[in-house]
Parts: sequence; C-alpha cells; structure tokens
Amino acid sequence: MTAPLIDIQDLRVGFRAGGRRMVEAVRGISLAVRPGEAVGIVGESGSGKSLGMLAVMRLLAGGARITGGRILFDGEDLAAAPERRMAALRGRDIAMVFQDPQSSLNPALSIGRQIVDVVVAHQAVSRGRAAEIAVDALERVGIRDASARLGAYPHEFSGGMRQRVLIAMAIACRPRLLIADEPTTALDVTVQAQIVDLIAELRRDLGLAVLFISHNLQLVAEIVDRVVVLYGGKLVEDADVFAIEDSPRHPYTRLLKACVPSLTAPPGPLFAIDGAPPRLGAMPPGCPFAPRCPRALPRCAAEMPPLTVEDGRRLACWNPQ
Amino acid sequence: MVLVRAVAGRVLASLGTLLIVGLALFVLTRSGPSSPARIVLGVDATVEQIRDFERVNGLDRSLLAQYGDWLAQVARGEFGRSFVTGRDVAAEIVNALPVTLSIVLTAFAIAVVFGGALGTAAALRPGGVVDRLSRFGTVIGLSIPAFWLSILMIRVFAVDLRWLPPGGYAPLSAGLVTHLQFVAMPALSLAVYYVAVLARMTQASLQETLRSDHVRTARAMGLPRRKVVVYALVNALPPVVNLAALSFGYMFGWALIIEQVFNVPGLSRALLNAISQRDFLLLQGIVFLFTAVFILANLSADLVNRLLDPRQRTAA
Repeated sequence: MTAPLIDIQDLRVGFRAGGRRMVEAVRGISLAVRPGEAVGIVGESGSGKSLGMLAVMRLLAGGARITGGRILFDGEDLAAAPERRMAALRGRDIAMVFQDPQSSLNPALSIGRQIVDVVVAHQAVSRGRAAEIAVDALERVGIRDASARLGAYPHEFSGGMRQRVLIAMAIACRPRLLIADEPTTALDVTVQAQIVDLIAELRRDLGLAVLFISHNLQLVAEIVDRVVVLYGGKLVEDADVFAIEDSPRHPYTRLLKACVPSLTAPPGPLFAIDGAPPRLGAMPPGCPFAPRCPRALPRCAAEMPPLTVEDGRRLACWNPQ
Repeated sequence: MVLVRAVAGRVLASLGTLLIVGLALFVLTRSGPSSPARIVLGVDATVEQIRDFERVNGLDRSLLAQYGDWLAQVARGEFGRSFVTGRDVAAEIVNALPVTLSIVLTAFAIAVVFGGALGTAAALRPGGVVDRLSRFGTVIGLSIPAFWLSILMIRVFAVDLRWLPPGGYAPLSAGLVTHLQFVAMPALSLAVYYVAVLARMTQASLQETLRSDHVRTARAMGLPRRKVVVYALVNALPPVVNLAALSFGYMFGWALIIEQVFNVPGLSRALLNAISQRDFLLLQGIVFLFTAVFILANLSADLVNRLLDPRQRTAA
C-alpha cells in the first residue's frame, strides 16, 4: 500500500444556526485517496458530499466552517493551513471543477487570459510561455484549434465546451488531485458521457487522483475504483466499485442503485426512495437513514452503528444485507 | 466596425429622444396663460402693441411652425435671441454653463471616488467596521436634504469657522485655490447624496459578484486575492456605471437649488429668470441642454459597459 495522497480524518463541517448553536452538516467523515486513485462520492442532496469537498479546498462560504478533524494532504494538515498556503496549493496541487459551467467562468475575460492567470499564479513563467501551456491544456481536453480560441470569451462556447475549458484550467498546472463536484449535472446526457470519458482519460494520462462527486451511482461507477456513500453527513458504505455494483450491503446503497433507471429492464414506474433526507439540526440520534430504511430495527433509531471494516469494505449498519 | 454601427445606432436613437423632448418642451412653455409680450411691454400696453410684438417675434404663428423654425435654428447651433432681454441665448448659456459644470463635475468626482471606495471597502469585509459605518453613514447621506446641508455648512464653515466664503463664485481664471474655495461647499453638499447612492450600489453589486460561481472558480484555481478582487470589481461595475450616469444628469437638476442657496451665477439664475420673464427661447435652450447632458451621460455609460462586458459587444 502506498501512502495516501490525501487522508481526511473525522472531518466535521458546521453552520452557525442562530446565536451560538452550531449545526453539523458533515459529521465525522474519514476517507483516504492514494495517488492516481479515483474515488466516487455518492449521496443525495444534503448528504454533505459537496460541503465536505469544499472544506477540503477550504472554500466554505455562507457561514460554514470546519469544526473538527484533519485533512492531511501529503502529510500537511489543510484544515489548519493559513489562507496564503491554501492559495498556493489550490490549482497547483489540488484543483476543483464545479457543477455549473455556465456561471463558473468569468464572463468578462477571455478563456486564454483566465487559464494564463492560473498558470502564472503558480509557475515562474512569462505570460507568453503560460499561453503555450494554456494551449497545451486546451488541446488535451479536446478543444481543437486551441491557440486561435484563446481570445474567445466564455459566452462563445457551449456548456460542454465550457466545462472542458474549466477542466483545462484545472489541469494546466498538473495537480495531483482533481475534485470534480457533479461536473456533468448541468449538461446534456451525450455531453455528460464525453466529460466523464475525458476525466477518465486525463486521470490515466496524467496520473491524477480524482474525487468525483455525484448523485448518480451508475455514472460514477464508470470511472472510479472505489465508491464512498454518504448519508446525513455520515459515511455509510465504502467499497470497491465492483463490490458496490454487485453486492451493496447498506440498504441505502441498494436503494440508491435502484433509483437509476435501467436501459435493459422492462419499462415501469421510476423508483424513488420514500421520505426525505433528515434536516440539518434535526438529525436522529441513531442511523440517519433509519426513518426511511426498509430494514430498520428498533435499535437503528436509537444508536448510530459503528463503522466496521471487513474485506476492504467499510460499512455502518446494524442490519446489512 | 461593429462598434461604429452600434454607436451610430445609439446616437440616432438619442437624436429621436431629443426631438420628442424638444416638442414637449415647446408645447409646455407656450401653454402658460400669459404672453411674454405682457411682461416685456408692461400692464399698460395696448392690444395693438401686444399684437405687434407677437408678430415681430413670430409668436402669432402656429405652434408647429414655431417648432420647425426653432429646430432649424438648433440644427445650425443657434438658440436664437431672447425677445425679452435681446441677448443671444447661446451666449447667455455659454456664460452660465461653466459655473454649473464646475460645481457638478467636482461633485461627480467626489461621488464616484468616495462612493466607489466606500462601497468596495464595505463589500470586501461584510460585517466589518467599514461595512457598519457605511450602512449607518449612507442612510444619513440619503436622508439629508442637500439644501439643508448647504445652509448648515454655510453656518459652520463660513460664519463660525470663517474658512470658506459663504457664497458667490470665482472662475478658474482667478486661481485654482480661490476657485475651489468657492466651489467646495456647493459641490460637497450636492455630492453627499450621490456618495451614499453609489456606495450602496457598489457594495451590493460587488458583494453579489464575490458570491458568484466564477469567483469561487478563481479561488479554487489559486488566483491571488488581489487579482480576484480586481476582476470582481470589473464584473461588478456595469450597474454602478449606469447609476453614475443617471446621477450625473440628476446632479444638474439639484445644482439649480444648490446654486440658489450659495448665490452662484450659474444656470439656475438664468433658468429662473427665464421662467419668471416668460423668456421662452432661453428656457428652451437651457432645458434642451439638460436633456442633451442626460442623454450623453447615458450614452457614455453604454459605451463604457460595452468595454467592460464582452457579451454586450457581440450582442449589439
């Protein structure tokens, strides 16, 4: 086993909710990623997946902050790093692409300028040399005739192309970790597949470690080695992608898998999990999924199951399948 | 080429606006009950004398014909000769305009510089000292009537402290310091409201930009904070530019009152005289000028925003 590139230990993220009361949205998540490994983070809205990754980037906004735990990147604790140090790491060692490519590029600046800015922020090169690096990155993400398009503005690109530009910006400085926060959610289905393929290809060619956040288990399964399932700010299952696909053990993982419509099954009503995720600040004392769980036992509602490790699978459930 | 066409289009549209405003102005000035002949010739004038006066000055012709004549004059750059004072209207305006312009431009500079700086500083630290001070200060700035502030300033700076003259005017040719001594109080009292308005707009717009996805991207890519802020300012500027242009136009209106308080021989004196004497041509000339200033200010705002936002460039 190689040492992990990033080792998130018992990460907690909270909001200030009126006065001094803190509400926790990420409630102690531990997760390690090895160099070059691709891990999918799956869960519904409000499961804490995006918030947790924003915490890793130290880009939390709107009153959210890290309330506990460590984020070891190459042995350095990012949770305690000063902002100046984070600015140096972001874009150079860890990069992140976001959900909505329509609004994630600055509309007033050409894409060339935006990528060049990132390059000169991290490397001691001239803007001319940085432009060559930008062209390189753009070609790598499949934008043809890149040197002619450096002067183009974001609104001259389609959504899928903008996401490619953002990915080019993210990989321009050859980071070791790419965090992709639902990078395909805002795109057409055909374009989604292209972007997923692109990320898989970049990972292979550049040796990138990838944290791919999604609510779509099937989409993630195509490119990752391992899937982590979050619910209610807790990690409920973490296993090899084939194990998750073939034999999910947490009831939530099973139901999540059933939610993705299949092309081969006969058409019928779409499956949905009954009920809604627990509200922040009103978390049940036991397993957060217990109120919606078809296999819930009396003890599930009262006591949070511990995270057990068995055959490389982590699981938090009193009554697994 | 695209730029030239877009500008030409805007200028044409502006000319149309000027024509319509001109017509409204023309009809309104002439719809008052008393004829200028009455005022020039006095209460004792006979009906014949008044008729003669109106014929000589073309006032007996149809409104439309008078409007046509006036437009033709304006197109040649002439505003006619006042039939009340006999003086050339254009010359009269050229005399008074620099006074008003000096006050308004100074006030505008104060408003843009201080409003922009205050709004930016407040937006960069929400909940900080500047933010709280500015929230409090802008409410006061927005609520104080400018004429009252003028009187207060005269009381403090002219009467009690004797730092500045209580009123009057000295042109720039009398020396910059002397000029500024006279302009300072009128410009400042005119500016206070607009400092508050522009500070509010700058703060709101910049705060919204700083919350936007592309600023988060810039931070996620490790751009230095200074650069992130500068770019955000560029993104946040268009609504501020539009409001500044509107403010510039409104300032001309408010300057009339301020000039009265400080007894400044600017456009307000000329305008008030024109109104009380039914000096139609002078009145038309001044209001026409105000309209042109308003339109020009907004046109410049559009052009500046085209430079700031590439989407407007291609959308033209």
